[in-house]
Amino acid sequence: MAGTGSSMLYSFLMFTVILSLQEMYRGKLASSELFTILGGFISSLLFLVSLTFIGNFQETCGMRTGWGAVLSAEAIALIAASTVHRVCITTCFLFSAGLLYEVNKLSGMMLAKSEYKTKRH
Amino acid sequence: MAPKAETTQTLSTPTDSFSTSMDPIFQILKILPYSIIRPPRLRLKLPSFTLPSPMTVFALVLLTYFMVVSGIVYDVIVEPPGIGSTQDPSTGSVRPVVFLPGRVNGQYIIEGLSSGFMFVLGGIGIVLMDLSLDKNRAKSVKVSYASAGISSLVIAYVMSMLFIRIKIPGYLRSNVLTMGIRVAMNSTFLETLTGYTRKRKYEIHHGRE
Repeated sequence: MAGTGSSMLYSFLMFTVILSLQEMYRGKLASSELFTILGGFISSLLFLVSLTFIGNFQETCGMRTGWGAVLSAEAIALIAASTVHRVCITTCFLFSAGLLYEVNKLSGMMLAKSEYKTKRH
Repeated sequence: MAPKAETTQTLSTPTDSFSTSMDPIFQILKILPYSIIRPPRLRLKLPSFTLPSPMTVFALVLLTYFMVVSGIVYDVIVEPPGIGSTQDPSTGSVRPVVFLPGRVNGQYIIEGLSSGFMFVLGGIGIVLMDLSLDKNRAKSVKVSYASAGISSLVIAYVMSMLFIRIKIPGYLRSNVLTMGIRVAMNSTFLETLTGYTRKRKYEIHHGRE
């Protein structure tokens, strides 16, 4: 697994790629009902990536990642979703709530694993 | 108890319980972005809030009951005046009127508030009577609670009946006296009628048709 600096870089690059793809196919995503749901999902991927970016940034600064980082990442994702379609905002919120639950579980697992390693050594 | 047992299990063998997780999205998420990049160290806790005390809830419910019963919604929608005024037909002086007479589906603001207060007073009387049955209190306190409860109930009933008799003259009463009052309430109708006949006679007398 990469360090905090390179994961920041990777997540920023992924953010740029996803955002530019979403804006390129904006008209296609807003064309039908199913595609608006897909657009919300893509916006929630933006949420995931920006949350990773902010979390890694805060880890390099030595700060704790709490609800503030989640809210700012959610704001970014919702603004990006609102440029596509109105329905995308709602679906993006729902998808990102699900993804946030999974990421929280994953990060708890990672923390437990690192604590276990430091305890064993 | 269940989450505590789970955390002890994860502390003893942290990798097993998560790698055997049946959540497909979790597995996908573990492989696709987070095998390359580092996940954020999130420690999110749901903000816990304490329940408000029973007296706070009771006060809020009572306030809402008062507002609903006194017709705040009607006041907001229709925007009636706070108090009405009428002109005395004999002297011509304008005097204030608190109750909008003759109409059941209309009110002034002060009227609604005062009758709502009477309903709330009756409810508080019932609550006080319930408090007076508490065995842990002194006898004088119980007696004062009971007397206050009963008197406020009686006051509320009498005042509510008075209000509705002002509003609907002859409510639940059908004797000759109230019939007279009802006719007096319709005196404006009679005045227009007699005025019409006088004018008609004048016109006939002067040869106009």
